Amino acid sequence: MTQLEVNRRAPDWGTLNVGETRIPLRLVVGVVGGLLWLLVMVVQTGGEAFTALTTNLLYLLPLILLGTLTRTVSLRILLMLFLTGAFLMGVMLVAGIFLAPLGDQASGLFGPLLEEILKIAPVVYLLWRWRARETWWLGATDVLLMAAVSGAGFGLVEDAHIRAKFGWPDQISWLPVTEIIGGRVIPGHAIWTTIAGAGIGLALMLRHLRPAAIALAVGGFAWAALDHVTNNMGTLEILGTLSIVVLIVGVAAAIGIDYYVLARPRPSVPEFSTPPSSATGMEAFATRWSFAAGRRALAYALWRFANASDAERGGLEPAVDGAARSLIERHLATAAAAPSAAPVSGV
Amino acid sequence: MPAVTTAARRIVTWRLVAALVAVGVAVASMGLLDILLQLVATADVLGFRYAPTTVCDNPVSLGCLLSDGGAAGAGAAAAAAAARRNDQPGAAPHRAADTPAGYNPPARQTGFEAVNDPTFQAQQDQYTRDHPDTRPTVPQPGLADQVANNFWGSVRTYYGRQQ
Repeated sequence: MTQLEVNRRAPDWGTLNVGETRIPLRLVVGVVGGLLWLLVMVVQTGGEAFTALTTNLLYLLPLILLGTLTRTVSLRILLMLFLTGAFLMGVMLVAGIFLAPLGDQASGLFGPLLEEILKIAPVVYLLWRWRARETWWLGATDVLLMAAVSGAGFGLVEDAHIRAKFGWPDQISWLPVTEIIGGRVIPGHAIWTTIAGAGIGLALMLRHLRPAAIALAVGGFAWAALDHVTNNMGTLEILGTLSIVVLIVGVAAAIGIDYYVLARPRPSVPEFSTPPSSATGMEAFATRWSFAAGRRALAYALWRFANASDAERGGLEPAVDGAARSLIERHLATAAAAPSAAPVSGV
Repeated sequence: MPAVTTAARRIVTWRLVAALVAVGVAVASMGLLDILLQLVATADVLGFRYAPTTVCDNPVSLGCLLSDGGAAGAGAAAAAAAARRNDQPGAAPHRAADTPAGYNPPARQTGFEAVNDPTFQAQQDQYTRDHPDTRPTVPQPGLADQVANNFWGSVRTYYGRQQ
């Protein structure tokens, strides 16, 4: 487990020891809880649950693959957000009971708005919770992926139930998570939340351009909500198709700005590099990955620090310092433990 | 299970396969972009140089990710040592330990500008000759603090502003 992951976890609940592996108990509780919810869905919807799982994974996996070289967020956190999104669909079902008396307005206006808020809420909560340090280690790709998995978890459950009840509509063939009904492209929960996440992610990278950042953060969510509402109301069919374009632009912009930030020169010390290690195979890859992710986190924090005003820099120092020290301390510890631990500052 | 089979046939279309291949190509092209940036680093193209901070220290390099930790052989070590001495094209000239004392960069100087600043380059080269790397070869108490302080010194130099 990397230092970044350790720092991103809340105070410990204890661990479950399996052999030499220590599994955090809160992770076990979270995963088991999430899987129970998914199990109920499988029982209720049968094979359609697996179909919905497939379509959503076929959307998420390429997206995660595309973000491989720019993301810092771990797959563990993405899994937790996926399960949280699935759980929030249950919250929406309960909320729907209270919205039912509103009639058409419930499914047309308040329902979609509430759904979009629920899907992005876990991401916003984490960004707020991590506001002292970890949020500033995230790239736009990270926020986009976090939103995408939350939306996909939510959409997975809804897709399974809708498809079990109404069958399979048409779809965009290269994007099977979508639906096409009556000529309108319905992007679906995963894509809508990805658009909202892209807006927030880009806004966090461009926080020094205050008006543009606010416009991006609000605009991404507003677009997703607008398409969702008009879809449920059966108007403005063109928005569904445009959402696919917005998605592609959003993904490209998020990865593009992260790539730009990572490619820029910046202050460094040799201790940021991956130290020599006797590890082999997956363990060696995990070490390299953890240092690469750590350097990205530092680069994102430094980018924000460099562009911040003097008044704001004080607030960003813990993020820069935390990312730098995490790399330095792990480098020194790993290099010291290596058999040929001669130059501690070497690669 | 027939429903699952039917659904699977609908999902796995040639367009989906093509899209997945496109994703693979896109990821691979990021590796190619990294190689291009490395070439630019040695060619001084269009008036600026891309300056990777150390050898295989690029966080977006798939090649580095897959090879640097395992390539702790003599070649990589020598390259790293060369990068530390800053006598390698493209090596970053802005580490705190190598920053000439008294050099005051212009306010809001960006990375590319710093690399191209001839005054900084000259002072950098002289400072590197006068101060060979004398880091201890065994970790010592407080070393992490020392390195972190050096880094912060470099940050202040790099992103400093005229008051």
